[in-house]
Amino acid sequence: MVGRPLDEIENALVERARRGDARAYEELVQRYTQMAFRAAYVMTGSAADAEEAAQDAFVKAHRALPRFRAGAPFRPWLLRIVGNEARNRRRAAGRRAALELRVAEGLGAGGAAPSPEAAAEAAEERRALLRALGMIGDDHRQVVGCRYLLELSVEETAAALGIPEGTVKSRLARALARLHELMEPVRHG
Amino acid sequence: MAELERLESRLADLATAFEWPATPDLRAGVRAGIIEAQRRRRRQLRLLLIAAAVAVVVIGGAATAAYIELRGATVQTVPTLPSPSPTRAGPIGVRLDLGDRYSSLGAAEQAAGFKALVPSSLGQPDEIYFRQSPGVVTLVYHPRPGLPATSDPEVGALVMEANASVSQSSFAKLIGPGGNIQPVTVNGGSGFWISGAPHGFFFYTRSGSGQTDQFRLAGDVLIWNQGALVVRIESALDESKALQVAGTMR
Repeated sequence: MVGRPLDEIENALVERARRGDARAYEELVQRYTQMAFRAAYVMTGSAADAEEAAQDAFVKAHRALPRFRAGAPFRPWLLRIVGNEARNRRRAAGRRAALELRVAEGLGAGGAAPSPEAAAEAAEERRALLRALGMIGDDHRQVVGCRYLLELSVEETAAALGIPEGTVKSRLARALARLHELMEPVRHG
Repeated sequence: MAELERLESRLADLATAFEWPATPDLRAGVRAGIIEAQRRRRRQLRLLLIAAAVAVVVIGGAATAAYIELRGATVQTVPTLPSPSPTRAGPIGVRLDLGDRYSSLGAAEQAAGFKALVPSSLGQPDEIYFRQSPGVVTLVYHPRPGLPATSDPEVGALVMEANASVSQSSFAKLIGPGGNIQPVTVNGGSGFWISGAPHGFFFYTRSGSGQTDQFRLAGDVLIWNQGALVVRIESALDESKALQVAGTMR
């Protein structure tokens, strides 16, 4: 029930946008810019490309709105368009994604302030995990990025990456196994 | 399992500390992009309506002009072809106005809302596109031994498929002087082999008003209805070889 009012707001916005209400579409753009931009960033590895891909995706989504099925979830529909734009841009640029992975020092989960030792250990763990993420293949990094960094659902990840949900699950399992292997020396070394 | 859970929990922790690039405000850019796209479509429409008007005038004065209806496509003979739109620069999908490129057939099918047929004799396509308006999936095969290049040196065969159960046609073909049109049966469905001089080709849009986007000249084409689809194969293959390829569409 918690998400219901939000869904209703979204449905109403989509419906108004479908009827040509420019303000409603602008509100949808504002609402989903961060998700679209970050998903495109995970795929292109470039903030500039991600910005262009997300912007073009919103323009194309606007044109495609009349064919959006009323009541269907908007996020995976939009993510599919964003994913296509991001992949096209990356292909056109002819380069591999070199996703820059950075974490803010001293941040992280947990409520109470950790001891200096615990904070240092947590920071080192995050750096090690980032290094490991940098060592796995693009396909694996993208699926991990979508699922864990962006917290997309399997359906949304499949839409963004343009692959079936079953492939998302199998690719994610392989990516986690690989990350686990790469992290072994850190834990036992 | 505990190891996996620990890894997942570390990834979740990483997500809270991950430094994303600053999210841009896209609203103004999107607004401008929508206006520009609408302006571009109106401009294209104006140009092509002029071309279509010329064609209609010519057809109106010609007793031999004829329409041949396939489900999902219109084939029309005209005494004179309108001039094609200027050739676009860029990759195949842009040059031929094929829409968005997809990494898998499944993804394109999902976007199209129908299952596309693939000619098993040609195997999996090299490139896959879906044009949202009017809803056409295109499989691109690059030239290779046994599949010579068409007038586009990077294209050996274009296989276009659209839902033919909709009331409006997805694409149209104008057959001018020197063009031949031969009725054929492909996989139990009726169709035509269009050969000889290049013929005109354009997509309809989904607006239902018969608007057109880009008009280009196409080489020899086999076009037919199969199941709920209208399918066209454009290639440099002769009729018998094109029919052989079409016979393997599953």
